[in-house]
Order: sequence, then C-alpha cells, then structure tokens
Amino acid sequence: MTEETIQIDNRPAEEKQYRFKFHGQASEYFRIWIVNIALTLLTLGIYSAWAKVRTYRYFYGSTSVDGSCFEYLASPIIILKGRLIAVALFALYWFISHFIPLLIVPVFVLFLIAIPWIVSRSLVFRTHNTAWRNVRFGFKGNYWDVAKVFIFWPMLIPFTLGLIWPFVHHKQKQLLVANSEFGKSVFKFSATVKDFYQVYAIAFIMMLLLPMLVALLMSISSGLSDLKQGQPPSTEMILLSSLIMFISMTMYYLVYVFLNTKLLNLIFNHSSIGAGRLESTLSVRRLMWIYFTNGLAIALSVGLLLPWAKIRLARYRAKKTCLYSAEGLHRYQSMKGRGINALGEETGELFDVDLSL
Amino acid sequence: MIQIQGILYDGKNTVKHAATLLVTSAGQFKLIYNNTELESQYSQLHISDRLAHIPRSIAFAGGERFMTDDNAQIDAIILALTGKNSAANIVHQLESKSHYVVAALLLLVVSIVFFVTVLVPRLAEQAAKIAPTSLLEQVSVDALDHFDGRFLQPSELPDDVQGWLQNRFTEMTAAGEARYDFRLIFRQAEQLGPNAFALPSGDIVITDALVQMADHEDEVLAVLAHEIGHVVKRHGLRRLFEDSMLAALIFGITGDTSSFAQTAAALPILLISSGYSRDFEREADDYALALMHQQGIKKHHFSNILIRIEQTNHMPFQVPGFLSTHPVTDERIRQFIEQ
Repeated sequence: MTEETIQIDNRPAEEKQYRFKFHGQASEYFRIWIVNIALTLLTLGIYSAWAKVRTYRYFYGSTSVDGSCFEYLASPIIILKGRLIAVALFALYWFISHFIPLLIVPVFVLFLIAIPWIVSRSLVFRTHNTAWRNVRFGFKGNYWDVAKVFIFWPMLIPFTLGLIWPFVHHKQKQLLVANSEFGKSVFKFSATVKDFYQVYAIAFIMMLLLPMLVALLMSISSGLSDLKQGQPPSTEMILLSSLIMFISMTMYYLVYVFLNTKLLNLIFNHSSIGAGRLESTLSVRRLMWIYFTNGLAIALSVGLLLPWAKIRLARYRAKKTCLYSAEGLHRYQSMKGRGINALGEETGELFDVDLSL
Repeated sequence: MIQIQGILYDGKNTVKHAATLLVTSAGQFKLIYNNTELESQYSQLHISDRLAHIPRSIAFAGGERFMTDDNAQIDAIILALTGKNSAANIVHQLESKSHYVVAALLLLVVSIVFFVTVLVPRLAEQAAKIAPTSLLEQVSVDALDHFDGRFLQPSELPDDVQGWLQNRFTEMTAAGEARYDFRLIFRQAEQLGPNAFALPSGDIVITDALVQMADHEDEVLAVLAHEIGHVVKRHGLRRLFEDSMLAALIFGITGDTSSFAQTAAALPILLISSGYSRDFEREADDYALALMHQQGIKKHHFSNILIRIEQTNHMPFQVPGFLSTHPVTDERIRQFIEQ
C-alpha cells in the first residue's frame, strides 16, 4: 500500500477494526498490589510513589492495541516530590485556617488562582508519560483554557440552577480531548453540547421517576404501620424500611452508573486521532452487574479481592473499546521526529498531583 | 552470544519493525532491523525494570526503542553483565515468590490490627487531652441546634422536677472539673426513648422518658454522672479524632473512595472499631462510680436504671458522629451491684 493508491482512490477506504486487549491477570496484580502495600507501610508512605508507578506500568503494559502495549514512563521521584508538596501545602492550609483565620480568604483566592496551573501541569505530566510504540502523548492546553472551563464556567452553575452544568461538562471534556496529542497528531472532539444535554435529560427523568417509586413504597409501608399504631416499631417494620432505603440507594446508583457510562461512550465515540476514530460500547447493565458483584466480592473477602475486581473491570473496558482506521496505525509521527528519551530530557521535571478528571 | 527477538520502534513514527537483538558476553549490544544495524554499549542503554509479564523495553541513546516479551533472557543478560539484581528487580523477586507475598499479607493484617486497636485510640486520646477547650465548643456548637426540631422537642417535665435536678447537677459538676461549661438540658424525644447524651462542650441532654422511668431521683443523677464522665474524658473529641484517622487509613488502603466497590473494603475496619465505644462506656462508668461515691449516691441506683432501660427493649438508637451510644451489658451492671 503506497501513498499514491490512497490519494487516487477517492472512495472512503475500508475501515479496519483494532480492538483493545487487556492481558492483566488477577493473580499477578494481587502480588504487585500486596507488595506495594507492604513496602509503603514499611517506608511510612515514601514507597507509595514507586507503588503508583508499578501499578500504572502494569495496567498500561497489559493493555494493547494492534499488538503493541502502552507504556507508563513517569519517574517515581517526581511523583514523590509532587506528593510532598501537596502534603506541605495541605498542612500549611490547616495551620492557617486554625491559627490565622484572617488569612483564610486571601489563601483561598491564591488557591483558586493556582488550580488551573495545577490541573494543566498534571495533565501534561500524565499524558507526556504515556507512550505507545515509542511515541508519547501530550497535552497542549494552557492556563487560561483550563481556568475558563474549571473555574469560570462552574461559577455560573448556582445562577442557572445547575442547568448550565451539561454545557460546562461538555466544555471540560472538549478541553481534555481536543488538547490531547499523540505525537504530532491532535485529538479531535466532535460531541456537541446537545449530545450532553440529551444524556443528562434522560438521567434527569430517571431521577424524577425514582422519588415517585420510593414514595409508593413508603406509602405501602406506612399503610402497614398504621395497623399497629401506638406500638414500638417491630422488626419487620425496620427490615422493610431498610429494604426501601437499600432499593432507593441502588436506584440512585443506577442513575449514576448510567450517566457515567453513557457519557464515557459518547466522549469516546466522538473522539478521533489522525485517521483513527475511537469507539466505546460499554453496557450500563453489564457495568452495573460488574460494580455490584465486585463490591460484594470485596466486602466478603475483607478487601483481598480488590485486585481481582480492578482487573475484571479493566478487562471489560478494554474489550468494549476499539479503534477504527482505514490507513492502519503505523502512520503516526512523533513530535520532532525523536523518541522518548530525548523528549524526556527536554521537558525536564514536571509537577505531578493525583487528579481524577 | 544471546539472541532475542522483538520489535523495534524508531521513535520517528509508529511503524513496527521486526528486530533481533544480539548481545555478546562483553556487553556489546547489536540490533538488526530492516537491513540496519544499531550498536551500543550496555552502559548507554536504558532497560525498563521487570514487572510481571509486561513487555520489556530497551531504549537506545538515539531514541530507538526495542520491545520484547522475552523477560527471562533480559534478566539473564543484566545478571551476567552487572552480577546483581537492580533494586526494582528485588521488588520483582518479592512479587514473584509466594512466601514473600504471604509475608506481605501478614504484615498488612498485623499493621491494620495494630493501627486500629492500639495506635488510633492512643493517638486520639493524647490529641484530645492537649486540645484546647475552644475546639470542644467548636465541634459542639451546632450539634444541639441541629438536633432541636429534628428529633428533640421542648421538655414537658414539671418545673420543680427540672429545678431540683438542675440544682443537684450543679453541685455534682462544681465538685469536679471546673474546665468545662456544664449545662443540663431537658428534652422530649420519642425516637430516643429513655436516653441521655453528652456533647463535648459539656452540654448534657436528658430525655423526659428517662426521668419518668426512674424510681428514685438518684437514678437520674447516676446517669448524669456517667454523662459527665464522657465530657471529662473527652470521649466526643476522641471519637472524632478516631473517625478521621480511620477515614485516612481507609483512604490509604483503597486509594480513593470514589466507587462503591472500594468503600466496601473498609467494612472490616469499621467492624473492629465498633469496639471503641464500649471502652468509652467503661471509662465513663468508672468516672460515674467515683463521682457517685463522692456525692453519697448509692451504686445500685445506676444498675437499677440500666436494667430498666434494657427491659424496655427499646430499639438501640445509633446516634451518629461524636455522640456516644450506650450498650447495656451484664458486665457493666455487675460492676455497680457487686462492689
């Protein structure tokens, strides 16, 4: 397949599917996990930075697409530094809030000003330390982009009764995706604000219907309690009301999983990189089942099945994610035509904080 | 001469090149791909640390990266050239040997048990001891407002009963610790049944049902002595410190508490820590015994009312947060009967 044949042929070429695969094993990860915890305990937390790198390396290295796995390249020393700075800042904040309460407002403003910087730095750190086939990812969003979607737009939420939130959420995801790079290629994000409002609207309707269901259950149970008025609550009554509690909590959790899953699918299905486009077909029902059984297994095993649960989730996510490309995955160019080492030296040390966005 | 098969990525693009790596016993590395040969010394390479089954990468100075699944061969080369395992390889040894894994597991269990049963209560006790009284007021200030109107209503006890109890309460507290700002508060609370609880600042709330249940005035005073014990021993603050330390531990183990699944791992820790409140009750009982003795109140008044509360078979109400619960046990009652 040469360049010319593609240019002459104007019809869209046949897209090929590249599935993500996850090769991690629960037995293997259990060992990594338990040794990480033991060494972190023995070193009074210092090892946690190394533990994080080992965990990420394991999950990245166990995930592959088109036969090549991802790599996590962060240096534990830099992560440790980031954590120490975070702990120091937190201690300082605690000290000021307890002993110099007058300073709390200026400190809070300072913190607000620092947030976009921290967010963009850590996004740069995370993407820059992820590589596939010796080509690094990257993030080109700057301070003002981040400040706009993570500070300015959210400030409007109270004035709009929260109605602006799906819009803000869309802007945040757009910032994250459309500023991410893989080598010289920049990710494209085509999901619209309308798409986000649609998902939120369905979740909102579910939220409205739920209280009705709970109210119905409540009226049934209060009907029962009327029969025994004047008596202290019986065991059956307590059981019934806890059952209603459990059901309504499960229902709200369902809405939460629904929203997260549908949005994740939406974001993936509208993201592309060069000639490749991503696809995610996670099922709400399946994920609900996985979360529920994972939680049960972890609780019953006193936490020992936590690694198994994480591996199981990662395997399902990878299975439902794929990349489509008509021209193959071999055409991505690295930034400045150089490999990982050269770039790493150039960018120098970066500040890492743990964020989940 | 060792030969390893793998894939080379040249760092310019994502093209895969099938490659062969040849390593001489002198530490000379030669990479052959696409009719190209790349040579390097061991010292100029960066080889990634061994981690379970995941592919190894060897980075060349020019930015090329050779990836292979052949972990065993790479380990053999490093061992042959340096004569020792690198630090990360020691971690790999720990991960791959079952007895180390079991040892790590034991260490985790022992640490959690030690932390939860020894370290947390001791630290909380010390921290509560040195905490300024302003902190006690801070944690209590909104609590009563919060409960009033939710499940506490104004008391319907006759004024003379309230007045008599107030006087005796003042005598009891005046004899003891002057550091606290004790206040006796009467409230009606159907859901709580016969009950009493203390806020860290020294506010002691007693329900009408408890006063009505008493056969003797001194029975009420015995309960108040117990609650004064909770205040003086700073149980509210200790509970608060303990809860925050446990939350930190749970966070540390599970990484983050974002998912239901991970929070479930905290369950055993919460089970162990439920023993805390029993120790607090015992301490408050001891304090009450001493105070009652000093005030000339007979011990059996306390056990009598405890037994009666238990006999009402009221649903044990779990007051959240820093309010203490009152599990009635035979052991507690015996203390007040036999001595």
